[in-house]
Amino acid sequence: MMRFPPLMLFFLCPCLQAQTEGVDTPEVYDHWRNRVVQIQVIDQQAQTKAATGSGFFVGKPGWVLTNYHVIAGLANQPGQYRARYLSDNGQSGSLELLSVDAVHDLAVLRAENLAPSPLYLAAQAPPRGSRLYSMGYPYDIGLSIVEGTYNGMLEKSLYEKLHFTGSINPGMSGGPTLDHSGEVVGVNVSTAGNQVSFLVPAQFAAALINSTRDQPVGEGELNRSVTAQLLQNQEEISSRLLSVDIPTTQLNGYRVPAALAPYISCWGDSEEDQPNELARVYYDCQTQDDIFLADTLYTGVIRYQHDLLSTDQLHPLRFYRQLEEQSSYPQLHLEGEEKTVTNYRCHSDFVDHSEVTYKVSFCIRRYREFAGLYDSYLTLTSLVRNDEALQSTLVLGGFSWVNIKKLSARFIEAMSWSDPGS
Amino acid sequence: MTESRVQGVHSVVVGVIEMLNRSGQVTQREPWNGSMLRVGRAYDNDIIINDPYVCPHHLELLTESGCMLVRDLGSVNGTYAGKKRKPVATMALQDGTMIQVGHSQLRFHLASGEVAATWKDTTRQGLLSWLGKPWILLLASLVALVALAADAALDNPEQLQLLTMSSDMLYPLIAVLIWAGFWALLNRVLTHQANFPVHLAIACLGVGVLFFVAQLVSMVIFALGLDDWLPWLRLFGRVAILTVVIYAHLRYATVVSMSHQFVIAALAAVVMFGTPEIGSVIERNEFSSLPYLEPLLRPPGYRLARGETVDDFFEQAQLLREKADRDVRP
Repeated sequence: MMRFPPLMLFFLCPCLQAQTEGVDTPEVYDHWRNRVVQIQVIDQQAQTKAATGSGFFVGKPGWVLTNYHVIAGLANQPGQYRARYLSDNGQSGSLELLSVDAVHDLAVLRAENLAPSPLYLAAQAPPRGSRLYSMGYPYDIGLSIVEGTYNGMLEKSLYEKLHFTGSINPGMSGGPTLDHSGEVVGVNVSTAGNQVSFLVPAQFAAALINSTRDQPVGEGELNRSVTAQLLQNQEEISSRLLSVDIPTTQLNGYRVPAALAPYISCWGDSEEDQPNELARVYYDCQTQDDIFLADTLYTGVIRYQHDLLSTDQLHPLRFYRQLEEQSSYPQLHLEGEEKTVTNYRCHSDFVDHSEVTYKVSFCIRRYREFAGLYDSYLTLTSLVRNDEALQSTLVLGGFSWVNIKKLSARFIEAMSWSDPGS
Repeated sequence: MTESRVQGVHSVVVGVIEMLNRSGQVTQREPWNGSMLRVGRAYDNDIIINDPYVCPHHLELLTESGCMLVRDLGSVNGTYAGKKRKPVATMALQDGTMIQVGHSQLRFHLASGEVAATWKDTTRQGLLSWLGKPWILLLASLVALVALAADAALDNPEQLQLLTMSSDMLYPLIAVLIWAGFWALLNRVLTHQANFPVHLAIACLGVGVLFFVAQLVSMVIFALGLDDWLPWLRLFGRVAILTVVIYAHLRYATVVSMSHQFVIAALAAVVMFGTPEIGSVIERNEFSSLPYLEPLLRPPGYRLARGETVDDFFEQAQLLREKADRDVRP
């Protein structure tokens, strides 16, 4: 059996404009091209660009909206990086960071000496199937326009996104996607390839613009702001999950947590390999989305999996040695670097619940820059039968300690076992 | 005083002159009857020293007024005596007096001086003497084979096949033979006896004990739910077993005191097993984006400890949070 990998989302930067009947793409391009700029994050020592993306003028004069992930280097290490814009006609100047919405991957900057008329944000999403135009600077090769189709709100996304069928490419992140009237429907943010692309809905851009003050944000204030956003976001996710009963599914004699919410996608399969004397049933679930904080720090994720392993040949000692071997290698994991997170701290013990004993290992690590946020890793093995065992793992990325405790406890409490032969 | 025949003359030995090599071991002993005895590089000396820094006639030992003396004969590089190596022209000799001439050392002992207690040869009597018996080698080999086969079977999830298991066991068996061969060689060099069967028996028993004790300890840790102790118990357990194994080898291969053999064995065990284990413990504290997990798992029937409730488990996990918070502090 092949496990299904998570949907890979690649951040990009587009720019686009719209047309409808009577408006063709060249017109759209010509009319809005001066509202879209390339954003370059410059390394202060190398004195050249370390990252590029796109942005567009919106809100007050000189304000440029882009993705948070485009300017993350500037936000995280302001001493190392600075930002500048480069317009389609060759104008350039510095950019100052005003505000960010890390959860929805948005940032507002202020451009020096450039303030064309701003684009307007659409008040509501267009009808599904509408023609849309995405603009941006793909692969650092100049301004491009991409024509595509609006396919509604993503239904299985933890963080609301619009589905745009069109080729958004790396470098277009932060650019606008426009409807036929030139209003910004969404902000280019990511793609799954094959013309499956995603936009941040304009409503979140509007909310950020409305809450932004026209003055540069300091490093400490920025950190407090992002931390507060992440804490609030995980609180909302946790509250929703904890307010309902956890749905479960049956794996032979075990009931285990199934898809906890619509935005969690589950896949499963089974295998019975020879000459390996283990039979397996997999059930893997995860959120399709995450929040970008740094190159190796993605947060706001929930992943879990259940492996039901059984044997009719192996001696119990050999069978449990295989389980031991498997649980020593984390099946799910979150990225991280020493400068962003601490090491995991782990503890193992027996836990009894619903007349089943589990060997439980639980680990947590803390975010260095975002106080109050942790990643957790919970893995458990049922100790019921000599020839069958359930191994389940739950990974929570970017939650408070209180919510990690509650969600992890609920995860275990949702499990049960009954002898299928009785 | 001891009677001895020196050059055909029946005389009384009053002391012994020992010649030492650079590591302090005695290479030659000359009985001394108290009459004048000359030491130097020339062939007409009573004791001839092959050392270019020693004069042809360097010093003499003599008795004056009942007192035994060493006297320098105006040598180029001098004569030094005692622990502080003071230069001497003439000096009284006592039991154990060290005399340095050129780059060579002499030691004087009174014939009536005390000698160290006789060492008990535990390789020929007592527990260790069993290792020399042929049936022990047979038993030890069997123990090692069973241990290696069990280890191979536990690690392999596939159906057991003789060929697969044999190949899994081949390298450990070769390692055991090399290990025993090394000790036999050392034994041969130091005592002129190889004792290969004995060293092979020790190596085989070591392999068996390491495996079975490790299994036993793991089962106890699992049964009692003491997983957090595992790294340290494994470290000390392995070092202790290896110390005993090396000590047994040293008992046969070397002629030094038991306490020295034990210290050498412990140091070697720490270097061989302890250092890598300590390294892995340190490595666990180095940064990794993955959690370091080592949950012991055994069949349900092996468990003795009661499980925690879910709430109690996470209450205890509060300590993890405090540790993680402390990790953030510079």
